[in-house]
Amino acid sequence: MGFICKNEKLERFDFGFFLPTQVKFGKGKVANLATELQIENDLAEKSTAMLITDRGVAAAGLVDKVLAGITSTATIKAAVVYDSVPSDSDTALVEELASQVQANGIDLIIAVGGGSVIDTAKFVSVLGIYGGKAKDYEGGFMVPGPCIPVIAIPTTVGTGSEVTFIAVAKDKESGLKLPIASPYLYPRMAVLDPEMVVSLPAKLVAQTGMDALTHAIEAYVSTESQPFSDALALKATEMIYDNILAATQHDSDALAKMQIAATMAGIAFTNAPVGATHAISHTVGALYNIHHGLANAIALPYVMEFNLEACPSRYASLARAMGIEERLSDIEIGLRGIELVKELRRKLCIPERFREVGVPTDADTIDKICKLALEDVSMAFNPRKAEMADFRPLIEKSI
Amino acid sequence: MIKYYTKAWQDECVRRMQAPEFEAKVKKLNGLFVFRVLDCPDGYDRTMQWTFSSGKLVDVKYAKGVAPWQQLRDEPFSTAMIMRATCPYQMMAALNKGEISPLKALTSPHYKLEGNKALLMQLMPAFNAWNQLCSAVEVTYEYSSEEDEQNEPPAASS
Ligand SMILES: NC(=O)c1ccc[n+]([C@@H]2O[C@H](COP(=O)([O-])OP(=O)(O)OC[C@H]3O[C@@H](n4cnc5c(N)ncnc54)[C@H](O)[C@@H]3O)[C@@H](O)[C@H]2O)c1
Ligand SMILES: [Fe+2]
Repeated sequence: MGFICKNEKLERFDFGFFLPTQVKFGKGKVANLATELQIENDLAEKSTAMLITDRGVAAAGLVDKVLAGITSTATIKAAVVYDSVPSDSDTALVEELASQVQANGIDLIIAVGGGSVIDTAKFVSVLGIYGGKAKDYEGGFMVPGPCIPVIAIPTTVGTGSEVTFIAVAKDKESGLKLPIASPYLYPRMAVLDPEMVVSLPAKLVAQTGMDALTHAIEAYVSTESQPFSDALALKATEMIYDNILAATQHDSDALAKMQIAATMAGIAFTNAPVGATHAISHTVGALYNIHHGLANAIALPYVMEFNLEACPSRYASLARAMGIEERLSDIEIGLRGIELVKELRRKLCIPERFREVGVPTDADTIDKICKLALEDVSMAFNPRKAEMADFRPLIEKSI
Repeated sequence: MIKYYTKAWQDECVRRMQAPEFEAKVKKLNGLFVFRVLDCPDGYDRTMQWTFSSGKLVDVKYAKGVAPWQQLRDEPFSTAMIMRATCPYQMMAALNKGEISPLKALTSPHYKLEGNKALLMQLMPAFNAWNQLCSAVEVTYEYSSEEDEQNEPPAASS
């Protein structure tokens, strides 16, 4: 019998697995981007690109690398470079960029950045063809058809947005996050080039890396988990656990493995959606402007404790993937795994509770977070269903 | 007035669902969709089954039994069903009134949804149109019997 999964029973007899995004990994892939595009029949004739990025990425010199990469052959020119995407994107901005797409006859969008940038590009790819407001596409499956192809070049090691069918943008006026999900949002291609993450500051390696670990763990215990997503989630858990610390010390091998694992975890959770940790991080992140990965890192071990009794064998497998070798009960092994995540978080100098990053601790705040988190779509995929009475202690602990 | 989640309500929904504009909106609906609504105000559990072919209703079924109607409650999910939703009457009524969102219901421990969720998510725009149609039917939510209604089939024995 296998050591990690213990030949567990097949629980689901009806599922699918979907990955339309082509993934290319390699050092120097970006320097040869034009060649990579030209060998693809559907991309070879694209001529007018919009490059979307943010200030931090541009300041790290990464945009110049991409521009050199796409103009290394004569076919593509970058008609528009937009380099000021704000954190968590912005609905007004995506509408403005979409009008530029239409005005300039853009036929390819290249996103260079983390989740904020890639999500922006996904919105622009929809609005650039179908027009209207970002809000018109809110929710699931509201995008009417194929969009402008997006080439996603991730520069963080977290969101997995380069391979997912989800995008989120913040509505500045209401302060609320507007999510869209559609199979037409999968980027056409994800280019993983380790040279694009070398400049990522240690703190962001830790925070975005913990987002990726959360994706892997939540996909593995998702109500929609299945063997294909499980394989990716387990492997990603192991790779992230083994490499995140070294990656913060800029070990290039570890960083490259983090980059791969973050994309694997993205593929896992786009097929087996994330749960309560994300419900909490979406809520706390939007209310108090806390980075998505940081919010996940704070909530993750508390949610693991909360969920443990709902699927102990799953948490035991995750613990074994992180190196626990003892032969104990599933619950005990699961608890060891949770201790490992807490210890990792400490080593990465990530706060243990939300109060340390400015979240108030009064009863009203706790109630508000509980209520909003329980209404988040991610709760539908959490292995343990919850109501206010049992969810509140979890929020209290993490606050 | 029509009593919510009774045979008369289903009949009225069926009548409205024949409209070509509605059928066009839900043309992705295919196969069998089952709803079990427990502890209705008159003391029954009820189930409704709807079978579609490219958005056209091809079969509907209705049954009720004294709550707890164990046979209904214990019936295993079958792969012949695209989806089965089970919840208490009060929750279904709150959904129909728009007091809680479908998302809130989905995340609640009292709402059980069975079936391939990825497929169901894909059908979301069609479900929205279906929900809208149903909630536009004027109904009363509090009732103690439905004997005065026509076409009312007898209750199943528990
Ligand atoms: N679509 C999805 O599937 C999905 C999944 C999870 C999260 N998200 C979204 O992603 C967003 C978070 O994305 P993120 O965690 O990748 O961070 P981010 O994109 O917000 O970037 C964080 C910061 O890192 C800087 N940065 C990025 N790469 C750098 C590099 N290589 N060198 C130097 N600086 C660099 C940026 O300039 C920015 O200041 C959130 O809005 C979240 O909602 C989306
Ligand atoms: Fe995430």
